[in-house]
Amino acid sequence: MDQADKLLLSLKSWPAPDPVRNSITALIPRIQQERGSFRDTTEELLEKEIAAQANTSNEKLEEDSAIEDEESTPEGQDAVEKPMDDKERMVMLARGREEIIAEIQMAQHEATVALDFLSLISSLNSEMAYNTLTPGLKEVIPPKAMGVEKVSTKYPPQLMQDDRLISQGWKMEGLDSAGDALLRAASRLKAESEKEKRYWEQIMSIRDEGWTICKHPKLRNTLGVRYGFAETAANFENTGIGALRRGDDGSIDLEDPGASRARRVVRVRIVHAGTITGCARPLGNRGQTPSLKEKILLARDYIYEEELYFEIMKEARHMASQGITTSEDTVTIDMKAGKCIHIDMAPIDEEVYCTGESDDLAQAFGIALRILLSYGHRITLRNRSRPQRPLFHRKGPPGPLPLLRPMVTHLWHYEHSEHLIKFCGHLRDIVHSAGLPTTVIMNSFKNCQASKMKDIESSIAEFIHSPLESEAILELPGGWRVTIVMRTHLAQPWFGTTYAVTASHDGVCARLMGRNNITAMTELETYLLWCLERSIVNAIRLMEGQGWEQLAQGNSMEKNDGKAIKLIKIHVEKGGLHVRSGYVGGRDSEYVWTGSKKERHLEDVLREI
Amino acid sequence: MDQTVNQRTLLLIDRVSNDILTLNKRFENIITLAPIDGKDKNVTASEVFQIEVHATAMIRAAEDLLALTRSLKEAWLFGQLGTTVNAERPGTDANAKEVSQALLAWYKKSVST
Repeated sequence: MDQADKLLLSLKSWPAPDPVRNSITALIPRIQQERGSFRDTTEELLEKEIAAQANTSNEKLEEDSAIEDEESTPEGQDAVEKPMDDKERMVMLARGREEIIAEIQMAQHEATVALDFLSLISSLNSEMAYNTLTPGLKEVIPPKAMGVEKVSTKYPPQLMQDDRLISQGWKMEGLDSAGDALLRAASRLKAESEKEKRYWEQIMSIRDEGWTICKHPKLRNTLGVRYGFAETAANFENTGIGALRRGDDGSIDLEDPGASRARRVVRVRIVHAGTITGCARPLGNRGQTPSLKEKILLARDYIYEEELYFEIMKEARHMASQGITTSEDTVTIDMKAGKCIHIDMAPIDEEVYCTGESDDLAQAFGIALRILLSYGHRITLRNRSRPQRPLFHRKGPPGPLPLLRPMVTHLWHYEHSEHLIKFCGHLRDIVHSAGLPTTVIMNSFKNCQASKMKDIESSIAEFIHSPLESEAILELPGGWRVTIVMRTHLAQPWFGTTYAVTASHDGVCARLMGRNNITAMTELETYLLWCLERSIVNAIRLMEGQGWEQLAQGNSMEKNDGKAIKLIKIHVEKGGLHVRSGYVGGRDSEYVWTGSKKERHLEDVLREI
Repeated sequence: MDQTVNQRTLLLIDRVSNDILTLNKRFENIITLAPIDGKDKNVTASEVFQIEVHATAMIRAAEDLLALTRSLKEAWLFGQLGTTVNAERPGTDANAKEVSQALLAWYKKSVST
């Protein structure tokens, strides 16, 4: 039996010498596998080994020959000692092969007989079994031709006892292992269901906060939370969903797609003459280990910031004609007079944000941009939910949202109205210093002061779509009244600030009265100076007991007091009011009222002339 | 819609009863296979194997029940019961209105002075 186990028979052909098998590349790994590293192999060791091997093989040979000596004839001994030539070997192989085939045929035959036997017995119960009978036998033997009966064998009691014990032990073991498996599964499922419970509790708490839970569009069998905005631009539609994965302990792990990128927010900086004078502080909490809800909020904030910057860039490119330039990562709004506003994305880090005097402006600018984007979302929603226009096939690409446009309109209007107030105040000071009456009434942002706000949306709509309007009323001396309505709108038809100036008086002057539309501040200044000049001329004309008369509707006046003809010339410029007086054949003298301090009354000066 | 909901419900009920049936039946089978009753060791060996198979089937059924609870929760969450959530907070607009009224008042005051 032992010998048979060791006997390895192969029906394959004798292996041909393989060049790969004995090549050095195949040998080295084989040697390493069998003997380990070469480092431990020395020449002496190998020699010893060879010697030992030679000894053992010699001993074995001697043993074998000793056995064969006993059993075989002298011819057999010759066969062992004499090396076989190829022909003999071939003959031996062929003989061996035949023997093996004979054995196999024998086995096959026996298997067939066994199968026939079983089929015949089984055919007692089922006809099907008869089909497996050998065709030759089928012809000879009809089905159910062989009966079988169970014969109770008398086992030796010892064997019976063993069998019973083995069965008992085996079954106990089987039941035990089944029970163990069930218990293991039970505890695993219990832990699993506890995790699941915790997970769903958290899901519910997120849902109760008002977030929308949905199936993740890309990951199967994963829930997601939608923190993005429903009305975002097409580029951001799919970024607003974070996967809610279940962690090892059942707690929720938010996997948001933006987390891998650097977190950046929109930064607004005010630059004046090359130095930063103001910077908006980033909003929001920045805890080191935010809770799940904070994480969702953070993710939403960042996605909002990204979208905001995207929209700002988009709009800025449309507004290049209005002093807004874009570079790769910055939008610059030129506010004239060396002032500009930079908008870019910056990471939330302390050192990036400096402070300065214009912080409030920058902060307000940043907040307003964010409010406007939110308003833009609402408008998109409203447009989407409106029924489509009839006979309207294709929608064009959506235009840029109004973000920078209203802000820049506002800033420019503010700048211009401040300038106007300053200028009117200066005129008033000049006139006051000359002792003449004048009033300036300024009504800034007239159309933004609704007494009662209907709702948030409509009030923002006014702010965005209608031009900003300020009004200044100047009551000049001599019954002149100038009303300036200043409007700023960065759209058709003005693309800037326009001034509608209405002047009215007692009818003394025929030129340039009524309503004039002026588009440049310098033009307006010149016109106001002219109005003031003529109004002062008129005031002098109306002064009681002076007797000045205007010449050719100009700014010269004359008075004939019987002794001489006196002439005065009234001139108003930015620097102040100039009255140049003289008489024929005499020297000229000039009085100037700059408005910086209280000076002599004009009427007194005129009386002395 | 009603019909699909009904079909879905029936499918789920079927699944639950199948799982429960499997648990009961397989346990019953294990109990039936437990006694030795003079069977020889070969029969016992095959019975032990059957016991293992039954135990595995029980575990599978229990796992299926757990998966079922999850899909029920999802079905409930995704509005098969007509549940919708409004993410917009109703107080936001009211707050915004308050703030802007206050701003406007402050602005008017600062202009008049």
